[in-house]
Amino acid sequence: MILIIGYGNPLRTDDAIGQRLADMMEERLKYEVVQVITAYQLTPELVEHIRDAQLVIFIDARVGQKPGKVIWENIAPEMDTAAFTHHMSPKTLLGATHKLYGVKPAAILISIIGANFEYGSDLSPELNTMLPSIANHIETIIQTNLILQLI
Amino acid sequence: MAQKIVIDPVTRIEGHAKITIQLNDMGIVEDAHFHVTQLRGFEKFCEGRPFHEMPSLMARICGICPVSHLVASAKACDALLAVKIPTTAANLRRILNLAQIAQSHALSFFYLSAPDLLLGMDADPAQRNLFGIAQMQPQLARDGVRLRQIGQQIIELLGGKRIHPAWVVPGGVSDPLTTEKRDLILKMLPEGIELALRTLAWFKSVISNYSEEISAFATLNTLFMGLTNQSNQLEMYDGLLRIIDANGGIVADNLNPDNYEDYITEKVEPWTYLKSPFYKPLGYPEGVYRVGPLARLNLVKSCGTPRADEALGFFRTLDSQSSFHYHYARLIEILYCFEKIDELLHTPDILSDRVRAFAEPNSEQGVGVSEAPRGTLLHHYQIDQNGLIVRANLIIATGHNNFAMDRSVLEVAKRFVKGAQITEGMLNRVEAVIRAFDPCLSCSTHAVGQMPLQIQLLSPDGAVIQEIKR
Repeated sequence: MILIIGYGNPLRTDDAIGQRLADMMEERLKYEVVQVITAYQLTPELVEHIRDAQLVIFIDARVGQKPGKVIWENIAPEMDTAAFTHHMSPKTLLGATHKLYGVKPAAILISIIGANFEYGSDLSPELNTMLPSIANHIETIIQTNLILQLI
Repeated sequence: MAQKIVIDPVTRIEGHAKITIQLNDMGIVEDAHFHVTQLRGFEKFCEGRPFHEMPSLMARICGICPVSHLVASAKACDALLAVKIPTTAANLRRILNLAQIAQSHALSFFYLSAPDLLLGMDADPAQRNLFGIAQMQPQLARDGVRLRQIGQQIIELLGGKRIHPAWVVPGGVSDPLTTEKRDLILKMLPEGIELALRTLAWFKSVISNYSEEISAFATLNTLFMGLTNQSNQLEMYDGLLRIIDANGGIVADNLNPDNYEDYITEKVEPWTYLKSPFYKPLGYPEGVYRVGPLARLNLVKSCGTPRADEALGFFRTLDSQSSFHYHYARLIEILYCFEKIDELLHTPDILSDRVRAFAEPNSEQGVGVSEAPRGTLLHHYQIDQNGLIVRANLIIATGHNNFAMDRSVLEVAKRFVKGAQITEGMLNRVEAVIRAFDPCLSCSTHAVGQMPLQIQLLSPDGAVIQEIKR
């Protein structure tokens, strides 16, 4: 199973981009093996889904200098000893999955630099304009990684 | 030299708070307080909004217990419409509320308090989290994650999403339950019951390790308040209020929540933004009460479901005054919730499509009360002739427990905090008594993210004598 997790706060302008793109990927990638989850933030319960995945793709917004820029990286489980309750990072979530179930799915984190994180239910004009091209870029990243997983 | 210790913020709770502990010249605790440090504004900024927006608006108070606010708010709106909602709709709301209580209790027990209970109050703070539990007892951690997920999945199946579902509306619910969804929920329940029973058995086996904390958390005698039904059983959605004293004697019974202002009022204290409600006839502080799982189990004769009632037998052997036993009560309620959901899903009309009553506003005031995970939750709205909110009063479950939490901090600090050299374990016990209540201050603060603990030992002139950070 390929798991896509798009997360962020849809009422914080560009922080919504993770959820928006995950929804778009659900529309585009009509494969039975693809499961899409959207969330405000990463919570420990997601380990129950991650444990069954061969590949996990996290999509999130981040701050930076060039709005719309897409950055992606392979990520590995991390044992973050800081106290956590209902908010975790992708690496910590992978670490918890490994600790609890002994599995380490491949994982990538795709980050999109946002322009505005203030209150608002719409994307900033910058990201809204670039959304189709960002979605194409992300679809390519996911398709490439899907192929790598399947061969 | 007199000193003051500040724990700011308190960790592993929902929201932001701090604790201050005042030591005298001899290094003995003289006073202590629990401060809720941010102001909630929901009562004010919903003024002018159409009443039918209130359930969705109120659910935004909190990301942890949105369903509880949704249910209480919808009940207040039912009262504004002056309708009796269809029985099926009430039962569907009940199921949603029970799932919410189960998932919230699982969060409180496994994520927030189990690190203390499994690893010990003096364990390395870096280990006192879910990873620490996973290291020492992975099955317990897996059970906690799964229990919470079952509750969330039931909410998602009914409400369409886990957080801020919009399915509960004034007059009932927006859509009936489908056979497919009912069967999916029914399929999950045996596992939930099994995991709750396994956790109860584990906790029962280790509870005696905490005899010192149990007695330290029991020095405060208060009244208890909660809803109950005509069968004298647990009631999370409807019913009438009962208040009992520290010995279990009934102080007031069959109190109609609609008239809460006749017997409940709130005290404002200068050290906190959270008000302290109390039972008016007994005055303040004699009329202070506790709510939530401990209160609910103390004031009913039985839970009303077989396995939960069996677990209640052991609970009855415990010190009913000790706030430490909120934990055990919470586990019994998880069990009760899954059993009760099963019972409700087998009621004959649960798939009926008559799930909503439609009406225009017929009353200028409406009160909605239900039991939230942390205790009795009350929403009270007044509207104008156009159906716009002119006044809202919310008494949230955590608020009811405010005085008890504040005084418990003092009692526990007196027991464990001694001398000028303060250890992290001492202060963790002071925090642990707050965690036992599982306060949800997010209703006022919307706090997210990590909450580092900073403790400073200050001299009277404000100089830092000792500092502990984590």
